[in-house]
Amino acid sequence: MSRRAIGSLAFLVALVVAGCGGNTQPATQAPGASASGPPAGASEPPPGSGDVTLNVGWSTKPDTLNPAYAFQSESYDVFHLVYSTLTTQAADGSYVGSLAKDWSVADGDLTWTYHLKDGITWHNGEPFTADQIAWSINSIMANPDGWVTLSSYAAGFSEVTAPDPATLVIKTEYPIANMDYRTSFLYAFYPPDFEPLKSAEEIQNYANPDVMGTGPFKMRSYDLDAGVVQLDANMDYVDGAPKFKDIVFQTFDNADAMVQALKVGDLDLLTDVPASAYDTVKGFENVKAVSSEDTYFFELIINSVDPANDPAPTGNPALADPAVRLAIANSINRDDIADVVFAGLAKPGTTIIGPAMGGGFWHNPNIEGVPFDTAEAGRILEAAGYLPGSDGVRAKGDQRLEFRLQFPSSLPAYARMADMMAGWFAEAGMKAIPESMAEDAVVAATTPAGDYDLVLWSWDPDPDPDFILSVLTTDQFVEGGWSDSGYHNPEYDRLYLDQQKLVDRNARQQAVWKMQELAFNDRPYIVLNYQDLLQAYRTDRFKGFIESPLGIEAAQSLLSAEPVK
Amino acid sequence: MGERRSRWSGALRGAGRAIRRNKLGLFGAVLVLTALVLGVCAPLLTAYAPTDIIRDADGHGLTFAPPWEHGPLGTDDAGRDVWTQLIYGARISLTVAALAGFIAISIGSLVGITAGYVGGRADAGLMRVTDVLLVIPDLPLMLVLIATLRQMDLRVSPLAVLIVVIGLLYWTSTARLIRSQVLTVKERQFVDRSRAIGAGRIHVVRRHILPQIMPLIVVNTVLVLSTAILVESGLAFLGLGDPTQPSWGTMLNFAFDRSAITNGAWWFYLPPGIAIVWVVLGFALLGNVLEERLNPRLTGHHLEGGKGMVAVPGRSEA
Amino acid sequence: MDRRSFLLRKAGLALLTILVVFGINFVLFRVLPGDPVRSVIGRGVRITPETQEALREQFGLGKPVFPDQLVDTAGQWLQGNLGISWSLRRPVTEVLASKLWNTVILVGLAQLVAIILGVLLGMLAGWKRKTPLDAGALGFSLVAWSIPTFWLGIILLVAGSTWFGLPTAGAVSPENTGKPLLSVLPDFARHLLLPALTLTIVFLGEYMLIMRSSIREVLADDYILTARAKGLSDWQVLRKHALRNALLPIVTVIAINIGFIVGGAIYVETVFSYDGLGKLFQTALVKQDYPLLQGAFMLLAVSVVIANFTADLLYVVLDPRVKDT
Repeated sequence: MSRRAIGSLAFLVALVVAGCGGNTQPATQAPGASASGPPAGASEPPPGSGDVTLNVGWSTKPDTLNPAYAFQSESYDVFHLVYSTLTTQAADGSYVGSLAKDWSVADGDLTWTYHLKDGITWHNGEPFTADQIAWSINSIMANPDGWVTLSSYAAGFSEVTAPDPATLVIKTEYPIANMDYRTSFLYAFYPPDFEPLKSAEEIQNYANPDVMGTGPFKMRSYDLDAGVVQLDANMDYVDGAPKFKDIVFQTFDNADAMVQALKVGDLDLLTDVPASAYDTVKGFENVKAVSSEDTYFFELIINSVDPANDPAPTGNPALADPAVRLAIANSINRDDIADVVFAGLAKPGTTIIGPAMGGGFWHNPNIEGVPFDTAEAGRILEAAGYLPGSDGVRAKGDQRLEFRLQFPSSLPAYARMADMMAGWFAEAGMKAIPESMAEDAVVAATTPAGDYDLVLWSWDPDPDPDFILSVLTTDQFVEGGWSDSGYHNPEYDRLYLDQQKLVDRNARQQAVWKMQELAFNDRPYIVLNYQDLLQAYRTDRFKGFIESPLGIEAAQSLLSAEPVK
Repeated sequence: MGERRSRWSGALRGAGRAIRRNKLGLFGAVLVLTALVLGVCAPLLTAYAPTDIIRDADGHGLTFAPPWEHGPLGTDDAGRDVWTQLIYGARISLTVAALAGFIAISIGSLVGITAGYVGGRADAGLMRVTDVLLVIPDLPLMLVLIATLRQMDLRVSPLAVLIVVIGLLYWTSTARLIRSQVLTVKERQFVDRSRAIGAGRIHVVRRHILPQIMPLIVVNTVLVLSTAILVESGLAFLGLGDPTQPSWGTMLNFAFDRSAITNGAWWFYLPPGIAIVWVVLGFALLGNVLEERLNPRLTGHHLEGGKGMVAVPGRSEA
Repeated sequence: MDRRSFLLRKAGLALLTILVVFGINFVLFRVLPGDPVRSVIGRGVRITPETQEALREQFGLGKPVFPDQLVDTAGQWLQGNLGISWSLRRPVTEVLASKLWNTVILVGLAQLVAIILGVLLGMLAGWKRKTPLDAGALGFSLVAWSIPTFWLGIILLVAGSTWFGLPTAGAVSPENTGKPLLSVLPDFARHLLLPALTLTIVFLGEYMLIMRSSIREVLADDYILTARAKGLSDWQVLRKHALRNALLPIVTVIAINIGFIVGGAIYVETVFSYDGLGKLFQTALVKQDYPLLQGAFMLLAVSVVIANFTADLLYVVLDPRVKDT
């Protein structure tokens, strides 16, 4: 063999050998040095908790386990198990106490008093006291740019104090209608971990290796590169210990691989089964497929930007005509989309607040979706003066009913929907041109440029109506804001501010229902479908999960679950 | 006029002869032609449009129906006929590859001829550009370029972006090849004589150099095309194609993202891959045969690796 | 041209290339329109526009691109600090290092096996002309070359997991995460098998074709006929004369392909959910995480430059006949 060949091979071999000496991940021996938690085996599982592990599959991995800066919902899966909050949402949508045993509001709805449960301890054994959660909330209030994801939950708080170790008092600047929801996201994190961090950057760059909390599970180790999180049961949890030993979360980038792992028993629970795989998963041996209603919805956005806006919107002016919007609504077969695109695992949608939110309390049930009837759409357009041209596309003068139908390329489902809509629109005499775009391009085209006709997109709302209602407010149509439609309705805006302060639930409900009515009739959004929450677990390994829109991986569900003997 | 035409078509006739003589070449030609015919005649070969949804007796979409329930290749995740997708997909895959190949060959020929004929600083400069391009890994660079272009909302189809990006990155092998050949031809006497009687540069290139390199361009085109199809299918698989005009790669992207594997829908994820292999193999066989017959013995031409290869373009992007 | 000036020239070129790549790298990513802050935080996360503005400040996006951002970045890089990844909030060097070996081992292993098999099989095929072996080898290598990598991966994934129970994702099982590779070798090997096999087949096609055609060329040369006329056996002919020259083209390809090891597995990593640089690159691209993107891109390009330069170095050392091309 020539020397040259040997030289090259030697180089290659040396590279491989050097690599074999390395780890797959950075050194996990030094907490704080990398994105891993304490080394595996640092805490032995306590005796008496059984020896069964719950293996959970994620389709995306957490981005960070620092609550100040976590954007991925899987991070919150972990937070809700390791950290506790004053209140937490129950399966039926109501709020129950988690750290708090009871609470009340007084003083013109401006002073909230929480009485904490007895016997709460941190995972390291130290007792938990009210001044510690006061410290947490105060830090969030003091540094909103550091506590990027949590600061909005403390908006409007003026003072947080702990008059005694078991009592917390929160004073607010104005009556806060959704206080229970707010406190359900204000985690009690361990002050000594976060005390040294002063600037916003320091807070965000902190790796949070220990994730020390008071929740039903404690952090054993995690590795964000691999997307693996391992939690031990907290035997001293104030509301009773979990009935199994530990949880191991593993991330699969490919849904088929994840489903396969469930099938062969490498996984016990899937938090997110794709709709197109659900029927097959249902048929697996020893597997139960679970579906519940969800608030996640898909919508068609119709350019509703004020023509006086600067920069001027470029949408087809015909879209301002309510008759055209109604005709569009008539030309969408939401049942068929649910059937074909979501394998029947979605409900036809009406308003932006689905029936699953808060146990059905916030959804306006009096609003009925527009029926699918392209003939009717044609009649409406005809009556409004849009007559078919030689190519079948209706026009009024030089206003042609031809629209760009844009959607992000990130999800194949959008493309399927767009093709179907193009077909239906054509029946009614309108022309939709589907266009797949990079997600960022869609953002740039909508907020606040208003450079589009129709956009297909989706939302994953918070459990409280406030956030999703805000995306249709005029104020949010700014750079970095959340309004993609440009909807501007002063009455809607006024009601939005009202509902934020209506502590009386029924009064708030009226406002929220009214807002849904306004939005539905003006049609900045045509809500297409509410996608079901699809999950699955192995019945030969576990039982007792609570099936609800919160998901079977929610804390209460896992506390109720037990291994099958 | 007649003389020039016969020089150019002479290359093609030589190609035709080479193909007919060699069994492998013939096989390759058959593969390519069948794909072309299927794509061109697509509307005649299927009763459905690509966006038609097949429905069952109750009007539900017939998703993931196997071939024995709905022939000849069953339905996909949205109830659409896979055979229809496949033959219409041929149009997209082949068109994108052809256009991208055209851009690559054009740039490569221009660069190669200029570098070889003009020489000096232009040559050095162009070769440096080629070197830099060869060094940057192609797939990451393409991903970045595509991301950049698509975020600009240029109101063009994602396919146009793919065509431009692939064309911009795969001209290097052509450039090097053409340059080598031009350097060789430049030394020949009829060129000198031509210059001596005052012929302009462009005239010399057109009448004397081009006919000599035409066979090379033909061969190289075929091989660039085979690479272009592979690259396009890969990028489309990553979701960078146009989902409203699915190519074979886009079909595989849908299959992968919409649980075709879990549903055991092999009729959805096997045929597009087979189609890609079919066409790429066809072009590769054609290219190899042509290269054996039409290229003069160049020292060093397939001693270059990676993107500089002629006979076997490298698989550096995996 | 003597060796020293050849090497110096090559070194100079390498340096120039790296600089050009840095420049392209920087411009390309900063020119990306769109809002990285929105890309990083995604949709549906409650952050006020004011907080987004603060984030933009932190990312250094408030300053003008030229010269402030360019100078800042260049300065940092010269100190070996590749910045902090915006989406992961960890140093870029740390993130890259954690994925690097996964990819290098995967692609390196596949290259190694493909080279060995490719040389052997290609040699056999080229030597035994017009036999079924040659035809079979040619057929296999052509098909292997024509197969899209990702599709082959899908097929092997299905076949491997269904028939052999091989794992379908990751580099190791979750319980083995974070442990040194050597201690969990069987588990790692099981996870590595299918992705490495996919890449091996794809590379094998190329190597076999090159080896086969260069052996055929060499065997047709005059001095081979002379050697045979002298009565030397086939094997002696091969060993003494043909092999050395036939190996030259493949060595060139190997040296170049080594450079592409670092970036060479994007499709396979996607199909097998294998946690390497390829996947990292794609995620960074989607999130417009500039520091991570720039770092990853530079790593990929620089490794190719270094490998090429090392190849040039080896030639100078090993081959006295080296000339300037």
